[in-house]
Amino acid sequence: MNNDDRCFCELAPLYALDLLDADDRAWVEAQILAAPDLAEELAALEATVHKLPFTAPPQAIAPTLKDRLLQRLDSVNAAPVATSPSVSQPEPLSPFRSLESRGVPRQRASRRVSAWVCFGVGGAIAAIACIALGLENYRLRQTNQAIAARLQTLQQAGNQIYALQGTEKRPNAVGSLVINPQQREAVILVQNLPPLRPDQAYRLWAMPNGAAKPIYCGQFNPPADQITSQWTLPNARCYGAVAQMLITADSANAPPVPAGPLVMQSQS
Amino acid sequence: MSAAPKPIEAGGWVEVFGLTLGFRLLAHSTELILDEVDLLRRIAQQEQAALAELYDRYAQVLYSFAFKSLNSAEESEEVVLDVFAQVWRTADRYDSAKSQVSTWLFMMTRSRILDRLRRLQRTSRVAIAAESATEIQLPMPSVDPIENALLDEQQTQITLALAQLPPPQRQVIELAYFQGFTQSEIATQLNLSLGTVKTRIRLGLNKLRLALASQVQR
Repeated sequence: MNNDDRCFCELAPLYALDLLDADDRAWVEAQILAAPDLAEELAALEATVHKLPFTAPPQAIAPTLKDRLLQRLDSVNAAPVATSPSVSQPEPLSPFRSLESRGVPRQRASRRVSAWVCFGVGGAIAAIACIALGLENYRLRQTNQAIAARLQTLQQAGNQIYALQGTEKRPNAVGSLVINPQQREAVILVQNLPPLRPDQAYRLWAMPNGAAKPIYCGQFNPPADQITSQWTLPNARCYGAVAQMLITADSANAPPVPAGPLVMQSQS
Repeated sequence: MSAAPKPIEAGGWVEVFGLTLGFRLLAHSTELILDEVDLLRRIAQQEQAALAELYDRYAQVLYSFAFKSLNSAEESEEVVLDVFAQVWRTADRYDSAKSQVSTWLFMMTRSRILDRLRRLQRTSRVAIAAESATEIQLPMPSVDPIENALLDEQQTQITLALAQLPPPQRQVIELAYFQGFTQSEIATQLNLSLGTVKTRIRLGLNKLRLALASQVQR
């Protein structure tokens, strides 16, 4: 189906019910970017869809479920978690502080096992697995320390820092974007954003205050083991009075017009 | 001056957090929205009492939602536990400008439901027949009467609106939303063309939207 055959009125309800393929979703999202009234129409449809759970026939819920929930929270709270004090940390670091407190170290911490215990319970295979886990934990700690150090160097006066959060397409993605206007440079640090095909890329867009259309600010597609990307900004409007930064997944060779799905956005 | 908001009798429309509301609902609805946003703020500060309060308001709705899709008490309970555990972990990421608390909860719940449906690898899902809302009266946990009434009102509005849809339109919407069927799967399940499925979804969802809007105007 080419663009001329598509009708927003037909695709919007399907979009609201998450029934479209990536191509049609991208088309709808491009229409919304171009026409705010279409965005309102879609929002109304989505609001309708989001009320559907109320139509489920009421079911009796086990009275013990609440206690089970609180027990689960207590067991989670009892586990040691690497967190940083919230007061002294600057706001732009919060995604990575969130990551450290809820993301990589916590997941890995659940797998952190004492080598002595491994040897005790048995066997060369278990011991090798434990050593591998230990090495992975060490590597991840080193990676996170490098990320924190890199962020500190980027926190210079005049730099613009944005906390990034994944959309429904990539709900677990988190990151930080640093714009250096003097160097016309962008540095992005992201987690849980999978690599794309070689012919695709994540594209950064700036929505300047009062602008109707986003400004293309470059693209990146880091491999799985690379967390940071850096490039020269192609447009001076990528820094300054920017209302929001957006990241889409697009064809790497397409014209600088957003067509792919929105995967991350800066938090206002 | 009373702290409790009083309903305004005159008709009209107002935008609140991106929602268009009639004046008659505005006062109480606004209070509910702000109260729930405050609950999330408190949960973000790891206040278990706030999570318990949110649980009291929404656990049954979420459980019923999961049960309609999964038809299993055990699976539905796990969904509810997972959702509230996720709320506990991510409350500080909730953005009231993007969605209501209920929407946020429903989206998380649906995501968990679809995960479980895929995991269960049901090869033959039961087609949800068009059915009217049942009149089950269940004892509610201790919830503020005003919040309870507002949730009941939302439930009544959408249930009535859905009941007014032609059964074929209601059926395809429910298969898509509650069972996570794709358009092709719905077409296969109901022995319809893809075009017919798309048309029924489009007509049904637009009718629902208009029905809800007309209910708010009254």
